[in-house]
Amino acid sequence: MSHAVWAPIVYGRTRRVDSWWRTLPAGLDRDFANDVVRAATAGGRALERGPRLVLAQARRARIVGGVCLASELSDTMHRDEINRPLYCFVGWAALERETPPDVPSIDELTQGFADWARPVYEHWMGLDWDLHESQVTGPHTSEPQPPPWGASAQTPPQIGLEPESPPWRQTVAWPREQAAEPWNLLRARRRPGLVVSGWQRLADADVPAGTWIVCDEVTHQRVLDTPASESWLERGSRGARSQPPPPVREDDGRDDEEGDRRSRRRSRTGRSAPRARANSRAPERQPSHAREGAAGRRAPSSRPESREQRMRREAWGRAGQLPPTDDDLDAAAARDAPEDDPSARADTSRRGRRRGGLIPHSLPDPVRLLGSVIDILRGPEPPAGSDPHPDPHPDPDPDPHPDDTPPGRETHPARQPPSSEEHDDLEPWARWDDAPPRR
Amino acid sequence: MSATDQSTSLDGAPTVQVTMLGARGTGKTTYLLGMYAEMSAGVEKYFMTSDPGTHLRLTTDWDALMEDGLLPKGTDKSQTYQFRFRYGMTTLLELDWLDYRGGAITSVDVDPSATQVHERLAQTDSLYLTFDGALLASVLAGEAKGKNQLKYAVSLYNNLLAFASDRRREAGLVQPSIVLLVTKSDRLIEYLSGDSEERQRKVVDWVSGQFEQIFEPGCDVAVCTVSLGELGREPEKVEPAVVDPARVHKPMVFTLFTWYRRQAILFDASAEAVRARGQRERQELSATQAPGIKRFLGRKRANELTAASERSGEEAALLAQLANECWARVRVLEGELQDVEMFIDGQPVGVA
Repeated sequence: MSHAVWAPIVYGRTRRVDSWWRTLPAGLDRDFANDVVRAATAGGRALERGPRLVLAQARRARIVGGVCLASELSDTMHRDEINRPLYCFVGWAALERETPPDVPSIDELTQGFADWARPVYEHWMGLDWDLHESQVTGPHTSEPQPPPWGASAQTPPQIGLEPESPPWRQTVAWPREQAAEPWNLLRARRRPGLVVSGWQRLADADVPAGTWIVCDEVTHQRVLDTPASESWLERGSRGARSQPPPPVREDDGRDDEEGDRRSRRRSRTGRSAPRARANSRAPERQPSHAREGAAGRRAPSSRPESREQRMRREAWGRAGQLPPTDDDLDAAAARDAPEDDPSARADTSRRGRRRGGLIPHSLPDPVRLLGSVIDILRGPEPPAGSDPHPDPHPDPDPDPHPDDTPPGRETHPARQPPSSEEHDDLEPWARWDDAPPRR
Repeated sequence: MSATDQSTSLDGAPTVQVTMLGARGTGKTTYLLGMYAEMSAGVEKYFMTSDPGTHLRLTTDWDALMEDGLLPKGTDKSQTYQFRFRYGMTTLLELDWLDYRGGAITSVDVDPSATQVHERLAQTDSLYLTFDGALLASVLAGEAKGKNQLKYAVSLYNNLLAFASDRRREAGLVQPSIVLLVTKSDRLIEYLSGDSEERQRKVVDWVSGQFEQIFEPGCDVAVCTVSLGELGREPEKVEPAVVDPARVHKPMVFTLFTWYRRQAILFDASAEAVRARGQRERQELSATQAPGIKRFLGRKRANELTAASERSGEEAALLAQLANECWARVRVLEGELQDVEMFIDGQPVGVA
């Protein structure tokens, strides 16, 4: 079938404007198109060695095309205004019909891509190439046309359901010699998928989970490590961009309240499906939106977290916050004061706080009444300084030595630099400088 | 990150968010390559690492520049990098670095992160505002186009700074440190008289004069000029022999210096607050220690207060230790910033 079903798509920035979509057909899901193109462009990496070819299918669309340096398609429109080389994606999109339209084989596309793409690029990029940013309002709409590969496209090979066929939702790599396999598998199936062929190194293939790639560095077909999260295919099959579920983590029984708070603070929205680092030797890093906040992140070890570790983590979880002010401390003191001691509430100074009431406020009133009677009978309070419960960790020296402090520290006199005995407990690299501080 | 990296962290190591903004072609990605090349090699036993894939990509691109003179291409998407900042083999903190696509702030046609720029700014701990030295050179040369472009950039940055400041303040967070980063500073040589220090002084005065409102208490600012060598005007390829990175790691050192300093202040203040709380708990505990029936009635409360007081003591000690560690790092990092024009809490602390 070769009637007009394939509409050109062109993705590439202009000379003056950092805007990338030049043309798309009406009705093509933009998120799907974005995911496909960005999986192949990979920021323009490693295109000097040749184009990368793409076949993508969603529920209702197919895209076939390639990414290359713009200089391969145009002699004039291939560098931006500060002379940087440009890259682009040129392809064709078909909105799904009852019978999916023919797609060229990988060999046909390899042979014909540059010749097919050149006039498409020249036409659509030429419309915007020299426009001012204010004049570039969005992609043009392309119309379906007969495909450039004409009616001579090879009939997709009939492929049965092989038990050993690769998992559809995993990232799989094939060597260059087997480039036709994933291509033909996808051609023969009416299900979502993405094949990007033409990588030289796995490290360059920054692709979403679930992508099939063809890479020179791979010697045999294998599944690559991916995060245990939703593949873009699942998201695409629902027809809407949504957040993937967070990855399953080890449960070490820790209270995640701080982690949740940190996570809310650090939330990121709208990212695409997590991308698989096509390096099977390294476990995948969790995507930022699925990561807990800094306070919640922990090593994958099964060792339970010690109390000190937890305290440190919670302390660091407050990183970035403003220090408590005097008003904050006074308010905290007022909250801490027992309910039955109005004198304690009245005196809200940070130092010299009066002793609280005798009876805890948690006890019932009759008991408090008895306590009040006893209070009257007990006599005067012990003298100041005779605290039977001294602070086990007293502040070493409340008075600062400004000459030893780094810039700004003199405004916060709560601490002084540790003595030489103390800094033996610090990390071995920590050294107090004998030189006078900068102003 | 490799499993080895993760197993040697973390003990609650925090994440520092860095966002780098700048118009297209200002050299953000090139700067990142140079910065990572320097920091991954190490500065005073501090160094940065990343996962193997990222490390390979960044170092490969840097090698391409150094050996073949290939500059990075303009990218179609903003890129986030995860780095680890270490001392020796110990991970101190994680860095979440966002290299914003030049047109992302004004265009939403492709990069979904463009719509989250404001959300990101509210969470950013250190904000890099990039100025193209070539643009400043055109302003110095009296070109009207350059002046207009500079005004546009300053206007945009002011807007984003105000937004970030408001959001951080609402959230009870310290203001982000700001790096006014002048890239391609080699392009200014022919327009500024004097020796290297004098030219730097002029650039600092000029750039900082564009953002007078950020030099106030609570704000830490550095003006950093960086260069990769005299690469020429918009070359297709650069001559590898002229690639000579200068000062590219200084902005990162400043970010870490101010961040640790702010944490040290926070920990100091928190330790004091916890000590005060412990003092109150001990005072209340004493109140329950009365003879006879009062001691019986207050036993439960006394037990609670004893435990609370012990916890407060532990917490205060830990906070004090953390403050100590942060101050120690501040002093070490400060040593690398002797030639950087800094403003801490709005006050100049830099090259005389």
